[in-house]
Amino acid sequence: MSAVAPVGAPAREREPTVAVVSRLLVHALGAAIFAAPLVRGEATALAALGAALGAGLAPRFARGPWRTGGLVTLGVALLALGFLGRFLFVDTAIAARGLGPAAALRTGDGWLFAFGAAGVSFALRSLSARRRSLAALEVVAVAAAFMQLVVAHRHGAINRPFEIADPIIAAGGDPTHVFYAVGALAALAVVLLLLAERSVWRSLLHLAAVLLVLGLVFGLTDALDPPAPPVAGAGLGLRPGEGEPQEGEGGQGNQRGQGGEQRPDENLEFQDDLDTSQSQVPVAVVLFHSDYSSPTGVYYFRQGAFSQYNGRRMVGATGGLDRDLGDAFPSRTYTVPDPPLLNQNRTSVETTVALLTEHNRPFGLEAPVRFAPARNPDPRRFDRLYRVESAVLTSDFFSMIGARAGAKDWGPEEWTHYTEGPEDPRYAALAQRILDEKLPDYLRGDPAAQVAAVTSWLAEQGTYSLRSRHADADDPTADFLFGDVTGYCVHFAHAGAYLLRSLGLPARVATGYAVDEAQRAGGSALLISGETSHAWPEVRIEGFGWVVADISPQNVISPPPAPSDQDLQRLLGELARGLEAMPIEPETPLVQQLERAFDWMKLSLLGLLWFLGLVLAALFGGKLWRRLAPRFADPAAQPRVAYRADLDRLSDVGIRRRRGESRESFAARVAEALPALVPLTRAHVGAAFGSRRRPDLGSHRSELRQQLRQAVPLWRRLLGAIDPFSWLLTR
Amino acid sequence: MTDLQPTPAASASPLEDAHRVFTQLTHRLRAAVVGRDEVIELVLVALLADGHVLLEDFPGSGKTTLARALGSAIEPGPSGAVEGIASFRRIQFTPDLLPSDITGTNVFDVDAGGFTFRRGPLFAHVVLADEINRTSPKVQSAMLEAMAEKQVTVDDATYGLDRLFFVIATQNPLDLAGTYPLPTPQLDRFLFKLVMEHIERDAELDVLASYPKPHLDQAAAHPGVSREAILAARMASRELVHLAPVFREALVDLARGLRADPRVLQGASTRSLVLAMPALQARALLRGRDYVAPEDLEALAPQIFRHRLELAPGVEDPLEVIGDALAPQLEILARASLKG
Repeated sequence: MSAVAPVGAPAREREPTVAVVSRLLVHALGAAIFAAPLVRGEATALAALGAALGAGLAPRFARGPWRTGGLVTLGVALLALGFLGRFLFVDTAIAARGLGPAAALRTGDGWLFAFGAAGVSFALRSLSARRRSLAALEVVAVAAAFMQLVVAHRHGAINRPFEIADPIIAAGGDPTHVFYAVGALAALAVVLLLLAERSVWRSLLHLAAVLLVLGLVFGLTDALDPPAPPVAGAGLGLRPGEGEPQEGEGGQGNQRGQGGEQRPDENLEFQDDLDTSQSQVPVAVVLFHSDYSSPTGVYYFRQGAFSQYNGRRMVGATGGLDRDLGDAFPSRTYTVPDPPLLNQNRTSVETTVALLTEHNRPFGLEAPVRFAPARNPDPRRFDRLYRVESAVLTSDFFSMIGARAGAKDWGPEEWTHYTEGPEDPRYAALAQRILDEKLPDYLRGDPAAQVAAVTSWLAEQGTYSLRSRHADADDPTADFLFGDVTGYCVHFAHAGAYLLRSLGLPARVATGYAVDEAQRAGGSALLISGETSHAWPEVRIEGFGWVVADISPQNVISPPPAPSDQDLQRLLGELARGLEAMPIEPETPLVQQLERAFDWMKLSLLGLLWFLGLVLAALFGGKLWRRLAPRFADPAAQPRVAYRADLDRLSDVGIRRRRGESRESFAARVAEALPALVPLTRAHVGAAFGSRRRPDLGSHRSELRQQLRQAVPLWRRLLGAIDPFSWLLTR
Repeated sequence: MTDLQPTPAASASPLEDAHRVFTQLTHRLRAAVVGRDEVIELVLVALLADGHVLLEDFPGSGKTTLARALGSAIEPGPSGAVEGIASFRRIQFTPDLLPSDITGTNVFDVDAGGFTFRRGPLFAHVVLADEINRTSPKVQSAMLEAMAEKQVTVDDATYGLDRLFFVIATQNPLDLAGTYPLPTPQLDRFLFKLVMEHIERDAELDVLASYPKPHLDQAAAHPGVSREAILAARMASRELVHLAPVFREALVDLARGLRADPRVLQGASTRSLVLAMPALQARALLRGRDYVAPEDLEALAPQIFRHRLELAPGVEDPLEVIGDALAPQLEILARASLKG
């Protein structure tokens, strides 16, 4: 520069507006996402606003003379101000007196989240503005905000946090998509923050930090995490268990017509540890079409019956017996082959069953008569729906006194089948002893009284426990009955059936679900969860049909089942009807929420990883396309496309035009190392701005590559080759 | 100056002819004035763009040599010299100068029995207006009318100047006592204001080494160019150098950016933008291109606009202001080139 003064220094390094705005957006989004499951809408909006304000103000302060520690303290002070405000509004009576408790609570929440978000965003932004490496904190905080949202949906929890998933379900949508969207949004937010860093290496560093934090969280979760709740009911053969072939008529409704000939290979096996029955996983919702109250106080839903004695236990009968069961899901209305009689003892009750999980066969209230298909209002939520008309018993055992056992049309074959039991004489002896003990002389011959005596004796003597030691015995039932009388429903059902059979009464073991009537809580929907799967003895009484003779042991070792979730029951009931649910408030322990949410979080992370993978693939695709474009472009576009490919090559190794620098100045700046760029630039600019000359570029391009190889070390070129962002930074 | 390659004497296209002519001029001026390559280029750009330049420098920096070399390089064409038009005139501006001293005046011709117009020093191809700020505003405005209109008016009669009328004005930036500084509107008539700095050591040594034979004489060894060739080059520059529309937008947006800048009290005029377009073309031609490139705007914008801005008090450097306004336009131009 000898004679002419240089052009003024290049414009000050100002952060691009796009970066500033996207930072604000991401902060607002993060705060909103964090607040959404915790507070109401207006507090969420305030949180977003506060975060945007805090993040917007921070850089101004960061440019000022204040110490970094002071800025962080200011942020923390804002947070404290938020908590103080909430304390004043919510925990003291002052505001509640003036505003009313609800408004005070809302104001307090809004205050806390507005100031809290502002403080946190302010502190994070000023830190990252002061020290670029601390921007990792910012990125991690945003990632964590998204994480805590999906955390609550672990283990597929659907009604907590209520605000996120349930409206989607109620509207007939699939919440999974929402979570994918949230995952994608999170990825977008993080990517935006990363891109706002104008150094790719710093961005990659931050990305690594985020992945490390997420990995740590998931690793720790996996290490400390109790196993996911097992699927209950499989032990009783009600549902296809894991690993079992799901064949037979289980899933398909169109195999009807083969009658009762083809029994499913159901397995009512004795187990020493039935650890699956504590599951609260909902398996079905039953809608009552009429108000029906069971005389026993328990709703029995029969799915299967086991009446064939195989020398060790009861198995499903073949050969046209037990034909009062529904053996396939209905594709059209059908009546069971041997329906219970609708007489003065039984009345018709209609129900709709909405299965939430797959089942082997349909079940219905007590004694199903007819099955009919029903429209599934939400195939993603419900496995299937069907209607059942049941003939339910309206009388108790006392009204059966005097009735005979069996059925009028039974021949010797049936009698033999239903009274065959173990040859062990102890059963008959015990049964006789029970009758002697329990019944007065004039009732000892009465079937109904005998049944009542046996079941009440078992209930008094037996102890209900999910842990027992009978499965290895030759006759587990005898081991149970003549041993410690400790077992679970399958033991009791078998013991009851054998005792009744030894008395000459036709008995069998039925399986299905038994739900306490109280759980209906006056509504018309009844939620059946896996833990209510049950087995019970049944006895055939003339004029009454198969009668449930359940045994409720008085001693219970196993913990009582948790109370069911009334909100969930109502929600699912409404959904099964095809209605939208009324909003309800979640009341589930935090621990449970967290547990379930982690599953969703994993899903979201998977989605996020997929998304990131897709983003990476798109980035590399774009890079590759731009690199190869000169081979395919037509000659007119050649100077532009080829030059772009060359610039990408330079960008790979960090050689880029500065903002506001003309292409020619850029070429002149790097001309020392890369002289071939000068003619390439001239040709490119000429073509772009209307030159009529078309210089040949081929040799210059290969020269440029050569010069690049000489000027840039190999490792730097390799790093550049795997950099997915470099081509986006090409100017 | 990577584009200045020796060109064959006869070329096919007018554009190449023009380039050859100005390459000859460049070589000749460089031989005459050592170490002033950039000023030489800008002066030639102004000559080619039909503008005038204001050199702000100190005495003895070679401005006269430059102007004289330029004047002497313009030779009578094949059709002979235009009558009464000198190739070079130097006017030393002083406070007592009168307009008629430069424009010429009517004198009584005894033989003819009436007044005849005697041409002043403005009737030349190249006029060196030395220390233009030392003369009275009256003379300055007569000078500026001549520059803008290429004509002089004396006693109700208007006389046209030569089509190749090119003014190199100088002013001393330091010694301001007793001067009449040119107001901004008058500065607006100059295409460039070139601020010259001391030449580098090697160049200065080179100047001394030529003693006793001055460089100006050495320059005579290079061939000169004809007035017609320069006029043809002007024509070729305006008509054949492609000025992409995006540059017009860039110029307008640059001017708007300057006007919007709070550091600027009065921004660039529309006239300056009109003058800028041929300047861009001229520089492109000088660099051997048939199109205007962003580098032309980058190089010329500071020279075109630096003397046209009234800066707010306290703002010292117009180049910084221009650079700030120029950067986004260069960015837009750079991006435009990659768009399909």
